[in-house]
Amino acid sequence: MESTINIYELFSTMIKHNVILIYHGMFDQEMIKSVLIMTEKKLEQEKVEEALKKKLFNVMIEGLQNVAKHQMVLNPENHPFLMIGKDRDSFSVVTGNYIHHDKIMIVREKIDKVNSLNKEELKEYYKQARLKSVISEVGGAGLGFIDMARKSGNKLDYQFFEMDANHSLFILNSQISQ
Amino acid sequence: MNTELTKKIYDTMVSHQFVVSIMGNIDQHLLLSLLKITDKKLSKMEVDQTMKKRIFHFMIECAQNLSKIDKHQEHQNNSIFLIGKKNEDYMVHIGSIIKSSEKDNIIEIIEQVNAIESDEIKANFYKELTNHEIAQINPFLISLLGISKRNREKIQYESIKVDEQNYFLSFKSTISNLKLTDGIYN
Repeated sequence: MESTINIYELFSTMIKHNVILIYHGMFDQEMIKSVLIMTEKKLEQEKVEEALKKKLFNVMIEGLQNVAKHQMVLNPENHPFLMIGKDRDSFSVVTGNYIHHDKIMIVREKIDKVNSLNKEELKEYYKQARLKSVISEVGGAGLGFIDMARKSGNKLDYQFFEMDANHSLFILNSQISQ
Repeated sequence: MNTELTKKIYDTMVSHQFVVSIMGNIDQHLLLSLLKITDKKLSKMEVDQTMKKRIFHFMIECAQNLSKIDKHQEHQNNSIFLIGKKNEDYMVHIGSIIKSSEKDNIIEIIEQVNAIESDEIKANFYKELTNHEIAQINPFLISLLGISKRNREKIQYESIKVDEQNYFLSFKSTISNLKLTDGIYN
């Protein structure tokens, strides 16, 4: 009885908040591919138009690559995750992964910088970041965040939830509208 | 969606060790993707081919059964597929909201199958197949007998009243590494 009540709880929450997909586990290239295929099938069911689907996929790929690159496991129960939610005319792509407290400030600064720019400024910033990333660590300039903001056309919503003395759960939410 | 809500859902996923959860009309295309992702998950826990086949059979049969049960329009796309983990066991769940009017009949058939002694399941399965004209065969009964025959266990199910019009019906299959090694399934 216990397990089904838990499922029903999750089922009700998913319906109430229009969550259409949750994946909780480690991400490798194979798993990312499978999750993308599954999402594609799901979007076909939802009859999502091509342009929106493309935007959603672009944001998902950036988000999942970020997670795959930086993922860490605190214990056997806690893994990174992906959630996709649907609002009336938009979708939310939410990723979560663990981050060492030392890195929070850097990530926060990168996202805040991206969120402070308008469309044109973002385009210019992207060009600069790309040039910079050639001579520094790839992705170190926050290209993924810039790309997600550009492709979604919206500000990035994020939060850090402290999990233990050294780590927080970093949740990043990109809203993709038509 | 916001980050606070996401964190709450994530906490639920972690506390019950849910791995994959997808909502929707689990049709053939979506089912195929689910089978692939389940295959990858099971491969990581080194589940052997025989057990995998049983799980896939369970998923396909249950998804087809749930798709055939009458539902109110607003719940046509509301099926959930879930893989959960408890200690060393994995659980596969498929659930859907069905019409209240369907519930009693469905549960009667499930209980009919569960009342059969395990060593008689196989014989009952073939008897049902051969004793009736094709048009008279109850596909739901055959499907449940098939699941019970393959998994060598009772049909695990739950039904929860949602409101006067609807019930949430779910099926569960447990994949246990212990069962793999203690010979129950082999």
